[in-house]
Amino acid sequence: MLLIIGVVLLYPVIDAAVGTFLTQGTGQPTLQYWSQVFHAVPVLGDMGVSLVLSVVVVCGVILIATPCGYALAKLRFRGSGVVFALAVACMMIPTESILIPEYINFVRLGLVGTLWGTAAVYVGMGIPFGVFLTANYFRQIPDSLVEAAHVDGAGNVQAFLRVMLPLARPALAIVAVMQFLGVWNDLLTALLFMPQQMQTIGVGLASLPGTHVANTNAMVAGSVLSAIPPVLVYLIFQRHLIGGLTMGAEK
Amino acid sequence: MTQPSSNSAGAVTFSDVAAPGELEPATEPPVGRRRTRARSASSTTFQRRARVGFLFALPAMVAVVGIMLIPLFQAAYYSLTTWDGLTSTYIGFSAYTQLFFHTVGIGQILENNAWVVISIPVGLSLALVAAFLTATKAVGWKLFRKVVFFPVALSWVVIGIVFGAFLAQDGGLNALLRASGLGHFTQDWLGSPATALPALLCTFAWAMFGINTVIFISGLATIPHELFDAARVDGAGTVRVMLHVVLPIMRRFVGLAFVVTLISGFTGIFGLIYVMTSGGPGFSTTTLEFQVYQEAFSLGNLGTAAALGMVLFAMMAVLTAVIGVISGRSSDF
Repeated sequence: MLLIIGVVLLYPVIDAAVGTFLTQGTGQPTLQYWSQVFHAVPVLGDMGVSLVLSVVVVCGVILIATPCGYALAKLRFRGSGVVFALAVACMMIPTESILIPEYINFVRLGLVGTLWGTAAVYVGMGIPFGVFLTANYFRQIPDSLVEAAHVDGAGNVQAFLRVMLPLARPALAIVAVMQFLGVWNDLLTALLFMPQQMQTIGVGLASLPGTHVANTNAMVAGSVLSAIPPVLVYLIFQRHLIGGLTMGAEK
Repeated sequence: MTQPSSNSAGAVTFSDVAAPGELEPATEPPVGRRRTRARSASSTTFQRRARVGFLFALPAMVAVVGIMLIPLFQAAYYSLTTWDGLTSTYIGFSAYTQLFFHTVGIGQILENNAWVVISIPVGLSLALVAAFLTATKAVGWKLFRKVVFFPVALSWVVIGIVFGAFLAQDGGLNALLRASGLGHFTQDWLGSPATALPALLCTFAWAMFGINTVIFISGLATIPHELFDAARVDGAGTVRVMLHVVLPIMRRFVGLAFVVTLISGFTGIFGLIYVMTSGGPGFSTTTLEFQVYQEAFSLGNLGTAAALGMVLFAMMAVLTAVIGVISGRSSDF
């Protein structure tokens, strides 16, 4: 029964992937669609852009969100509860609801059509999730560990960097993996904010229809190629991903 | 970021108070005097901590205010105007009445969003069955658990291209139909208004199936095995065990899966629609999310687009709150 469900699930993907090696109509084995993709679209270049963008965003979110999550858990200040509630609320704001003023603001600031501007949008929208997740994680770590670090002469900053941050690695892995997949797999923000001559792989693939390589098999070939990095990340970090997704229910 | 002087000072006062070994519970007895000393010293420690904490949180707060909250308030304001990006004219709430009564295709669009909601329970029940089979270790459960989650790594663009190929006139589904003697059912599934939305929703359900199954598997793992056994001893069949034992315990997880799927379906599948159908034929696969983009960047009606975005936000807030109440979860996703 499960095997049948599994086959039904995988069939469309396998069918389409196999199709990229067969000539349309006659069914003869061929590599023409694959060579078409490499020649007509800078697939590898676009994937490089996606990689750089994802890495910048992952670093940005972790650098900015983690100290905040730590502060909300261990260095509470007046209003920190409000900040946490706000982070949770911001996680529910749909991108589409704020994207248009965002776009106009960024046009005025000259940041549309730049990698840094695009990264800033992703980072800003990724921070609430990062804060929420790291705050919850730091909360589970006993206070006595912080106190022990203070006894050893560490200040607040050192206690955070030397003691708490290494302990929080699993939470940081979840944030990094979710952000990486989010940026690699996004279309809308990259479509609007990235420079014309520097496209992510998602935009590159999505803008193929209507061009001279609008061949279905070639597009599927490009898709298969573009899915390799996220699938690898998925295979390596499967447990973290599941943790990130089910976190809300298990509290 | 913070001045090192204040920090090392903080550490000094603290180690003054906390004599070696004092933090271990074993040396609890001489509490009285030390507690009072600790309190007076720690009030300054706490103040310093609060200051450091505020500085730690500041960059994140600035970023979220600048990139999310200010645009949200701008969107709320511009939704009450006609706006082309340069000049805006305030027209008040008539912007919303215009939106709902005079925008071309709006009825169809709202109906499509309703269909997204209606499709969710169908997908969730399939995922629940699959999770139950996995949890009861049906044949092939280990392999299944490995494979089922992998669509989560695929982008909506990739899923859209693959399923666009599969559902096309010369695609895999029609080939399958012809091979099994159902040749007269073949058609361009994404090309006609009657089948485009169901085809899109099936693709969406396919993509969400893995996540939901995994959520349910981790939910089932929280149910003690004795409970199944006890129900079995009482003579309950599989279906009754599902309905009376599993479902009540799984309420929270069903709620979570529903919210996750709803968020994706309402605000996450722009890429899927863009690649598969571009919202067509006509408005037959346009959802609110997609129309925000169309209004703004194809038609240039930024005010209307902002209003649509606010409607989408309000719908998400109301729906997640309702699901939260029904499933007994606080709105913590």
